[in-house]
Amino acid sequence: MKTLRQFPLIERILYSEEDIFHWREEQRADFQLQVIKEAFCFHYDQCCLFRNFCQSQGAVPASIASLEDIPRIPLIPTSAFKSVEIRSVAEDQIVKVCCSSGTQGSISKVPRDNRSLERFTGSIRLSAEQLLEPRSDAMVLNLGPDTEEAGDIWLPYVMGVLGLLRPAENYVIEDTFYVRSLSEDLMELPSTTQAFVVGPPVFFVYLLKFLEEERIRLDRGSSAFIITVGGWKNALSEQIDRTEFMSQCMSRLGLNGVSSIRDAYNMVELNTVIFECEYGAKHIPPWLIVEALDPEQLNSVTSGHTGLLAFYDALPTSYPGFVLSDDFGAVSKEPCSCGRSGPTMEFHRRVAVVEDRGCALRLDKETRAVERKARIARKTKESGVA
Amino acid sequence: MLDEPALELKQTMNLTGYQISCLLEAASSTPPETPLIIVVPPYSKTMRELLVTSMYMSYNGFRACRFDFSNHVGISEGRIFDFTLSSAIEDLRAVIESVRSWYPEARMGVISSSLGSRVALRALRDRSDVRALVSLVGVVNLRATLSRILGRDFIGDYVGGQPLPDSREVLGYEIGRRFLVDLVERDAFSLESAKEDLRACPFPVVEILAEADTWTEVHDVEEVFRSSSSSAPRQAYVLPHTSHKLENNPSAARLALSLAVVILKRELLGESLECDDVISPSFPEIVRRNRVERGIERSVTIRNNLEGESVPVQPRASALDSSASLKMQPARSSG
Repeated sequence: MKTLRQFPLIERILYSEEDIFHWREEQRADFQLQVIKEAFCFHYDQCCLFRNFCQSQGAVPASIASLEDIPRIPLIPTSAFKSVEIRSVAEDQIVKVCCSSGTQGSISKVPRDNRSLERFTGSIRLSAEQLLEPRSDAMVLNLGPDTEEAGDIWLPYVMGVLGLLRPAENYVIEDTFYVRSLSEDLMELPSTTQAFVVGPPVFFVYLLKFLEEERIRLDRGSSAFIITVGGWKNALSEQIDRTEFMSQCMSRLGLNGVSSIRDAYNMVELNTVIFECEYGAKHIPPWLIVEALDPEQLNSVTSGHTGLLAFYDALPTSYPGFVLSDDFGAVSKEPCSCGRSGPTMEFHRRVAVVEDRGCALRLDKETRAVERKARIARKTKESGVA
Repeated sequence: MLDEPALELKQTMNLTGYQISCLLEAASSTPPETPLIIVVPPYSKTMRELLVTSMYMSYNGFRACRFDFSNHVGISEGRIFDFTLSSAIEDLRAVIESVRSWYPEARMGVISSSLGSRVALRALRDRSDVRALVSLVGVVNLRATLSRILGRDFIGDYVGGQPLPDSREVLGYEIGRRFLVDLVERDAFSLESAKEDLRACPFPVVEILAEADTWTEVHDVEEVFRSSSSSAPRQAYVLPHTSHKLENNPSAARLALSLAVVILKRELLGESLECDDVISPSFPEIVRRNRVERGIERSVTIRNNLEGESVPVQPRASALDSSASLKMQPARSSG
């Protein structure tokens, strides 16, 4: 009997049935150090721009000896993906350039290879199985287009990709939201079929309004889950408070409890989706470290305090997953009531240029530093210097 | 850039008179004598869920033929409640006969997985028209595997004279007692029966097993392959740190399917290839294909609904974007 080649540690866990949210603290720490260090070494070697950026900040792979050293890994501001091509694999390995929706003006472009996309899907499968616990007959009702119509826009593409994991229906076709079809399907699906209704929160508001206008009150009980993704973005004028949103969903859809309504966090620069548990806490899987940073000094704030969210994601291979977001949130090391282990995070709001001037300036400074390194890398390449 | 292969939905019929749906896939203008690989589904999976296996075959110069078992999930006839190993074996034999008539000059290989491998070992006994079988995470000791899945040795109970429940949930589907009775009547539940069946296969058989498979013991597979006294080659490969569910593990699936292509190229065409030479479908291509095949599933389900066959309720939006026809050429690849 011949044994075939080994797979990387991160894939052995990601593609297994491991109960990652019940790991012991030491197990989590050992795993994180190994996979994040491996990812850092890989991107340092393969991405010239990132290497130059690291060197300018005095960070080299040898700097990372323990988990406490992880914050020494330089973070790429998400805004840098709007102006610079950041890539760790050859151009012909890129199978999708994933774009943000550009609600704040310019568009982030994140190149992904097969491996990054496969790992991304693996992260959804493993976290969703352990936090949402779908039954084998579960289906997805996607309040978005299918993957063809989504094109390169990340959020709808991600929602469409769920069709790989479970049977799925799409309710946005050629930019039209078929809310009546959705309502009819929710009424007609047998109560034995578990429905995961996935979409941006504003689409649920449209559904709730439609149900109200049509005087329809559903009774899905425990057979439906509402999964909100992507936040309110350019629908801020229609935003309603989360508690009110949950209350309306429960009442109109006849859900059993608030634990049937969950949120998921992701952004185009992040290769992991972070899902909520039944207590509404977003559980961070072990291949990802999230820190909340003081927005002006970029130092870690204490557990539970608001800061700028920073991500050390070991999953992507086609770009460095060490990113400084323009989202405010908090990370808590306190144990969650659900009994799962590991830290949790909350998303609070996006950085606003006016109110958060200091922070915006700091992000701008960090972005310009990456852009400078990109110019140097391009010149080096043009002059033929390796 | 690769032209995406053409898909063709065909029907055949098993001995019971149930219609079996087959999905054929090959690159455009593939000649009829192109070697053909039959893809045998595992329990509880449809042929759509085997699209990656089929893509590997067609991308690398084979014609692939997938099918849904009758009395099973998928678009063939019958309810999964009535599923038995015997009905699955008869389905595979019916598909082979049809494929022979559709492509009489094509050399034939088979790729199977999990319970589908146990089906294949029994169905392919004494067949001289099959050139090779590649089995992925094949089940060899059905009694042990079922005991692990069901948490109780029902076969032991039955053989010992105890009554069986009328039905039982197996991996999310309610299955009638006939499934277990049939295994005993056909003597297909034991390790010994797997050894017998393997011995009777007069062609090369290769097993690719998963080291962390909790449903199949590595030593059971070893024993079956060691005891095979057939003169035809037998080989087994182990995927390290891998569980039974290859569909959840794209890295392991890529390696296993690349190796399967290498083996089938060697056994059917005498070609020597390395795993790294095998053409793999890209992630966007798989996503795109999944969308196309969901369309095929929907259109067949809608047609079956119109014909009055009992099928699960499908959401209405299906009708809004169901543009898939029964014979189609997916869009040209850009991935």
